[in-house]
Amino acid sequence: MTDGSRSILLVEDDPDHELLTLRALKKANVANALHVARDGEEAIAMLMGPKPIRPQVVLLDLKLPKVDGLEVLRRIRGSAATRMTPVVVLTSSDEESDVVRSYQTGVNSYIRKPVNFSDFAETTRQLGLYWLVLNECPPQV
Amino acid sequence: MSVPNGRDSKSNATAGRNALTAVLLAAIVVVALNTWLAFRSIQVLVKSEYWVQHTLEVIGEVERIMGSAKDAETGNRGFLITGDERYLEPYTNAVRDLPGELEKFGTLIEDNRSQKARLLDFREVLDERLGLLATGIEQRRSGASREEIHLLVLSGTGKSEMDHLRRIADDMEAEERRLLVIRQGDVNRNSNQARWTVGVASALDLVLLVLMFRYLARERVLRLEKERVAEELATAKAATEAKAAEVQLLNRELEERVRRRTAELETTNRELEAFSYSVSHDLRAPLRTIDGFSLAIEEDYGNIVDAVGKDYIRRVRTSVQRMGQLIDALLQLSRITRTELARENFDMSEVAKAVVSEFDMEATNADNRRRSDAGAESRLAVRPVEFRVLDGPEAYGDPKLLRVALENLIGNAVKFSAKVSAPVVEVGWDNKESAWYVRDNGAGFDMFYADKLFNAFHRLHGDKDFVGSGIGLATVARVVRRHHGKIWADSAVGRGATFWFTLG
Repeated sequence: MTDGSRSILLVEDDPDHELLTLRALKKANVANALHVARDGEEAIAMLMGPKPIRPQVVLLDLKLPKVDGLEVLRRIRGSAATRMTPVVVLTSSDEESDVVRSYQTGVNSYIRKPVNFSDFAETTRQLGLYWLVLNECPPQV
Repeated sequence: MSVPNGRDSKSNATAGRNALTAVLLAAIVVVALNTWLAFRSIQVLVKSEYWVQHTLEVIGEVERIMGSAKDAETGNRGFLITGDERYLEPYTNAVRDLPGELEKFGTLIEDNRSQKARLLDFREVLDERLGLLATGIEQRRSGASREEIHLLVLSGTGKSEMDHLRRIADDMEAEERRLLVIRQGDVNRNSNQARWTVGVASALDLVLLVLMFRYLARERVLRLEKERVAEELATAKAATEAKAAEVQLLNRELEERVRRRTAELETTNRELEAFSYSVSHDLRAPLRTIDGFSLAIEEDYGNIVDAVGKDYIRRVRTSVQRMGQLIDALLQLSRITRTELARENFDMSEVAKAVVSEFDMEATNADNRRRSDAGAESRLAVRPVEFRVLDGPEAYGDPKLLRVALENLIGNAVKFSAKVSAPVVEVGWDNKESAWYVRDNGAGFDMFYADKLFNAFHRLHGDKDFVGSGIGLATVARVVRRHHGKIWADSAVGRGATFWFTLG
């Protein structure tokens, strides 16, 4: 098992966004280890595969190739090992239906990515600070 | 003619039938009574005529008996004088017939006591006389002398007895004649009475017949009228039914069309939703990338980018923000069309207050930022807007959508009053117009363009003066339209603007 302490799993198909998120986390000084999954399938494999990672928080985009974000969330909540892992939806969509369905599936937080990158950087900083430093995670199974 | 209502005509018909039955029964009774009266008076007449006949018969019988008595007398006398047996024939006949005739007479006058008494006298005298005649005949046959017979025949008794008989017969006849007069009078009276009775009864019958005929004629007219009305009603009913069938057919077609349109609309809505989803997600992502990397250049390579380069970067980022706002506004506009209208009674001024407090907070934040960012110079540029929210009646609509509308209207008011020295934005209810309004004392607009106000992407002010998407008022108009309400504006350049809206 990889070192899961103070790590983040970012599920994001857009490499530009991955790069910008990484930069924002770096600037905020909160990212110890950042895992990146490029689609839903990869994210599931990383969390439930033969060598699963145990991140402090999963930052999940909803619109993903192959397996979409909601399905990934459903699988995370359906497995005993990952059931309590904090998941934050980080998406461009502010459709009410997406928000409702995410919470129904058991998301811990729903963040809409602001278009203004200054705001986005601030949001990312706060997210990292909150989930990696302030928030007390459930004990690892 | 007006058609009487069903219950009245029915009760009229019942009353008519009852009246008809009563009249018919009365007519039958009257006719029967008339017939009986006529029959009875004829019976009385026949009876009195019988009595007249009877009297005449009695008189005739008296005459016949007297005739027979005379025949006996005459025959006897002839035989006594001549001794010839042939003269005896009338006598023999009379003696043979007299008992029968007397018997018959007796039965005829059975009911009349005085006649009966007379008949008794008559029989006595007649018997005496006949006995005398028989004695004469015997004496003649036994060869009595002519003188003896002469004495016998001429003896006073013979003559006086015959006179006595004649007297009794006259009395009886006189009695019968008296009765005849009375009975004749009866007959005349009864005959008159019968004539009158029959005449009156017939007249009464005739009157009844005429009345019945008139009644039936009126009934017939009424029945014909009723039949005509019924026929008209039936025709009207048939026409109505045909119309109803036609309407039903049209309705079915309409329903089918509505179903088809609804299905089409649902498909369109689903497509629109997918499109909006795509827009909200996919269009924002590259914008964020552009903005992110622009900022990264500014921050990470600030030392090798000069002031002009930094200005370019700022312009890129400003455009990205505008595009972001446009996408948001478009999404809001499409969402207002897509979402279900959830109407309820709510307090419009409460919603307005909530919106206003958000604007206040935003202004304070911006003010703070500006204070920390820049010096005292820009602090002067901040003009706090005075908001006035007046209470109005309860509204019936979708509070979520109306909040969006108020956000846009108040946002517009704030934006266009930003350049006056004491901006005031007022929200309230106008009793005269029966409408809600949002009023500002800002730039206003030329009423010439008023009809273009509510079209999407149409902006009356250039970018240089006021920033905006041009979708805000279109969104407001759509909210109002979804409530079947009306929206209109009143303004003059430089004198502020008022936007009114109603909820249908």
